[in-house]
Amino acid sequence: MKIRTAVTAAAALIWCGALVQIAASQESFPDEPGRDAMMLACTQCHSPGKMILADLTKEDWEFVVYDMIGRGAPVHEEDLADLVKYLQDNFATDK
Amino acid sequence: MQKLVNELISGRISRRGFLAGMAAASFGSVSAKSALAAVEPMVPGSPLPEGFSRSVTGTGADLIVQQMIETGAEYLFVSNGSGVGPICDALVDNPGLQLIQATQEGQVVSIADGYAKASGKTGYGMFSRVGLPHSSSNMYNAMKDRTPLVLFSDHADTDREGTDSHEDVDYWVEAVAPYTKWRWTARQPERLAEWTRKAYKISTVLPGGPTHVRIPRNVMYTPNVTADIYSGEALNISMDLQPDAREIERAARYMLEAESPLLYVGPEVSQTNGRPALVKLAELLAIPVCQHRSFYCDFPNLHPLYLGQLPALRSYLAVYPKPIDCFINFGARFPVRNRSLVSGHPVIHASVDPMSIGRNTALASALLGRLDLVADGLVDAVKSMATPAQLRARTEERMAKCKAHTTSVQRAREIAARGSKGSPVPWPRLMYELIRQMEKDAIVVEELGTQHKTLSYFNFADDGMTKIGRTEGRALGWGVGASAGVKLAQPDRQVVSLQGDGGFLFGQTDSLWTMSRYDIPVMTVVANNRCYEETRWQMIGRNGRAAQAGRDYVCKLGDPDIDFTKLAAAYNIPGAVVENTDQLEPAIKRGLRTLKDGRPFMLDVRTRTLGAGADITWYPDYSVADQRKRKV
Repeated sequence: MKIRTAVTAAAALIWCGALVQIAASQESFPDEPGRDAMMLACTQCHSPGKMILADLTKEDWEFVVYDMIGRGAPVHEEDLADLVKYLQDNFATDK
Repeated sequence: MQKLVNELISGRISRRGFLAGMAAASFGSVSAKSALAAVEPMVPGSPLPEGFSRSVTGTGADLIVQQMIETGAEYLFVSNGSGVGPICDALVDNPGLQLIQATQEGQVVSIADGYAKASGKTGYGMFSRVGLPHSSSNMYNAMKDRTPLVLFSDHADTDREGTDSHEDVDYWVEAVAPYTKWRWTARQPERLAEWTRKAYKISTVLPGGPTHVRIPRNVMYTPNVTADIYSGEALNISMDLQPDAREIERAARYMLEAESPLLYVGPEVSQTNGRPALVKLAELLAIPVCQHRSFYCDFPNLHPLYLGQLPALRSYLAVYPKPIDCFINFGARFPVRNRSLVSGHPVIHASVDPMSIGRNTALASALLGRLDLVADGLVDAVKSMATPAQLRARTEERMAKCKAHTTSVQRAREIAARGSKGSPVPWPRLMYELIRQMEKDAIVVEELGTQHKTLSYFNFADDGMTKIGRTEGRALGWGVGASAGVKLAQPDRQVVSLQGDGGFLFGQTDSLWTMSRYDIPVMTVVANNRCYEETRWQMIGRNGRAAQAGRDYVCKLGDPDIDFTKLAAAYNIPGAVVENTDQLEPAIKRGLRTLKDGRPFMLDVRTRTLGAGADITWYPDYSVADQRKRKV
């Protein structure tokens, strides 16, 4: 019984944590062109939190996006410019 | 199957027992009989047709060399050791074998491994009896890749072995048991030819792998030994491992009925020359393809149905939003971690290795056989179940969406490469410039970390370039030697070796000696980012104590800052250092011109590192000189 209670409590905590994370994600990632491409291509290997914390300039972001595409991040040609702009506008240290 | 083959040719089971064992292991009767025909000449007491053997008298080493030549050996890769002496004596009267020397045992094995992977033949190596531990890292790599190698060494004389004397320990061959398909200490001179062909046969039977034979030196030097040498014809009977027809039909039906199937390909496809047949199958049913990590490219990587490695599947499913409902593993050995891909719907596994099939996953269909034959069988079965119009109706939308997706991703990749510039050199631009200069059928030998994903720029296909490496075992210290072996196997194709600075420093400078000694024209490109980037990502990315303290204990390499062209120059190999993208094109052109002139070349490209820990400058800077109390 105790075990079941503990498991339920843990599950509830994880669920609440997930909700908080989703809320934080929605807040931190404004709905602008490039957001969907980022969520699809970048988050298959990196957590969204890493992108918020990355200490990168606008120039760095372009380099990183190109480098990641070179390393297999699947970005469509038509989304590329929006993706770079989205990351620069929202997360660059010199935005 | 290898266990059954071993038991048959050791006389521990009968022919009937072999066929029964094959049936129990799910081989069809045609495959079992074909396998039996292939190994039958090796069975003790088997009568040989006339002309299939000849009697030879010579030293024990003479018998080894003559039997090796009969199996098709062109090269024997060696390192120095007095135990190689009997073979050197034998070569005087048996000039059909070209000896290629490396400066240490590990590189003997990597050169032999590269040769075997590029030629499809068995690689032969020999080294000193005490060199076995040194050789074992690349022996392990060969075992993980199932590369056919026969590796000899000498052994303590028969009157001294087992006494813990000079250069001897007990149970030598046990040390490499996990890395070899078979291992033996051969003590009877009249049976040396027999052990040689047995080692060859076992290493070659699919799935292949290294074998190791130790021979006491006095046994190799024994004079006037008479034994039968078997002709190559008696040994090289192709093994036509046909898959079971009923199983093929069942698998074909699953694939045909699926709305969103996925092909997952691994190295056995290339090892059984299955790529062309697999392309036909994928195209017939418009099945997208993901590549398992492999030392070959097992599906043309610029093909419209090729998605890349498994993480890339997610973006395909965004344009074709139907969950995978049939997972077809063609020749990949590893388990798939994403449970949703391999449960709740039919999973099919095709392999030449009954030990591998179903080892990690519950299967709806198991297809045992050579993968080219499996793919051909599936194509025929599908065609017999649906008309071309029915097939078109089922596959048209999937093909169109997958093609639009992969074409757009490839275009973005090219834009990214062209837009990458500056100093240090970005990886995508390095690959892009290499492709622009290299020949269209060049061979790329790679031993990179996660940067291997930048190889997606190359056109690896049967009518394009070939990729060899990185090994499945991933023990570093393989690529430079392997590239030399690849060039020996394919002297008329351009060979470029891609190395990280970290990987190169795993004792690989030594293979530059072999390249220079034998005029092996390979361009070695060291992507020099002055760190072990991949391991830094793993360690710092976990944000543990070291990461929080800003300490990079083992991943930083920049001190000393190595100029790899100077290492190459010590071996009389020319080279160039590239600091920025403007210098790339002329340096690559110079390198490729040097290859045309018949000499190797070293390209040291200063590449940029990024990601977790890239900004950490701390490393354990420690000076023994500063600790001294006396300046001596």
